[in-house]
Amino acid sequence: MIKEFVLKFSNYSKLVVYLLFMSLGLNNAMAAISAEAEQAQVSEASNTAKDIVLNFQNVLLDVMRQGEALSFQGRCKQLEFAILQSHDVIKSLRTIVGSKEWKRFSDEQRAELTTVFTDFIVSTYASNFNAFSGESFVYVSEHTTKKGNVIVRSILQIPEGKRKKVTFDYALKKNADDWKIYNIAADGVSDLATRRSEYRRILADEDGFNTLIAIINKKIDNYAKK
Amino acid sequence: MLIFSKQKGLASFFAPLFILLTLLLSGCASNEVVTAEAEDLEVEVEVSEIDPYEGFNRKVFVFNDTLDTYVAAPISDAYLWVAPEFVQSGITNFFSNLKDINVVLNDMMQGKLAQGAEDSGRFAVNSTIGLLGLFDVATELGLEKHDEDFAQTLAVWGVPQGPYLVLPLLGPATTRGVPGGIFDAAANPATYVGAPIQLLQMLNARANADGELNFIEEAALDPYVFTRESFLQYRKNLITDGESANTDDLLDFEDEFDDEEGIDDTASIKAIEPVDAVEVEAELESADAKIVETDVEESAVNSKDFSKASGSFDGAVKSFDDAANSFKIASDKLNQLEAQ
Repeated sequence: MIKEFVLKFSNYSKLVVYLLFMSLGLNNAMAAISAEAEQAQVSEASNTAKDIVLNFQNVLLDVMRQGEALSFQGRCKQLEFAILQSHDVIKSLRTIVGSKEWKRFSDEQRAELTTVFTDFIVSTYASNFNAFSGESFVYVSEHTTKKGNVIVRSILQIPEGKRKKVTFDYALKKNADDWKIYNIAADGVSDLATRRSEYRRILADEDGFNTLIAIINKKIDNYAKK
Repeated sequence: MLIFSKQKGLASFFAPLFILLTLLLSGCASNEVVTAEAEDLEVEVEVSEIDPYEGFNRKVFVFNDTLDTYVAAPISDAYLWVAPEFVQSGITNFFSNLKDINVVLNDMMQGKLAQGAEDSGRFAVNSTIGLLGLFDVATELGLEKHDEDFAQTLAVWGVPQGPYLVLPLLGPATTRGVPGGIFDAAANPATYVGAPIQLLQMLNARANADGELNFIEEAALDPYVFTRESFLQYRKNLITDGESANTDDLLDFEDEFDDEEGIDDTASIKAIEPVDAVEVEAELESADAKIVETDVEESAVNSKDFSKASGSFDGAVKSFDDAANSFKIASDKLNQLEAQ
């Protein structure tokens, strides 16, 4: 009997570690939001991929510091702007959904899904980055891939309790003159890849589009109510 | 299934024991609401290469989730609320320290000798200065905690991953993880000291996963898929020691848009354009000024140097300070309780 206990626990403990990192990661590992919306901003053009990531992280930390002083809506407002500036949300969404599916959508459907998806990401950030207890991001490295994209690695350090750190890899693509965040991986768990499996699974069902919108809206409501 | 049926037997004869056993469940828990959603989605299950038993796995997932919701979660919530933080972190550190024995063994089997030496050092320091592992002094000294287990060793040796499984009570696994789990259990001293310690270990594990489980509950559209994808990717990342994310894998998806110019996204772009961009921008600029990137880097470097130089005494003192602090918080909570 003891052996069974042990077997269970052992598997379990790995799972726990994984969940721990995963969740911390996924708090951050929200996909990406649009470049195009801000293409008018000339000053952005000179920002390197690293600048984009560091600026975004600074906004996150700042929102956390303001924490409860800002309402959920207040945090959403600040974060939405920062996310739209630094992320290529439409490209991420198209990748999540898949090109075939995306082409099948009407313009209205694309616009609706984009709005809902953006709100969901913003709400997830706003709900999870709601208080500050000494967290910091430490830049680790920047690495250009074979295809000319850039991966910026940084570590989120959490001083309190048992959860020490999470490694974030931000994948950026150059879009016109701007670097935009396209994917985020937290301890190796890629946000885009996870979402792809989830969203496509739902879209594969009959009336998948409406189901997807309904599920996401429900999630957003839950965050707002929390 | 063998394990499962034995558990059922236990349940009828040793009901309280069974209740505690179910603490294990949290691994695959999410929440009732989303589970209902997941069930709805179960209609047509595509048989995928990695998850050929999805139909069965989903049923187990729901079973585990339900048990967690009604049994493990309430116990864990009570523990998290009542136990002072220093007790919680002491217990976590204690089991983490025992696991370091396992880490060292697997370091060696994977040929990571330097890391093995470091992890041996961790165990030695934490078992002595750290009072049998209750305080993680080694981390304060700059000896980083590593995560190695036998399933990772098997992967390094070239054993294929095998299909994804959700085990009753145990949660996500792959076929490679099963022998891995048996070996790891056999190498862990906590295995041989009796049920109370093991139950505590389970409670500790469930409690530590609490935040993550809540996150899944809130964020996952399909908790089953979310858990599976995250689990497999996280395991891959451990096996490659963090290098799996450092490649084009993060960017390449098989049908990524090459012809994106051909798609008119004007409507979508318009949909997410912020209305009061200028106002928010002004706020953000002031935010940027407050937090300078270099501050963060420097303070991190400084604190590392400091903790290395300051030696074990400071590390230990810090741990005790933390403990004293959480004791204060705990006594506040007890006062609150009395007041109620």
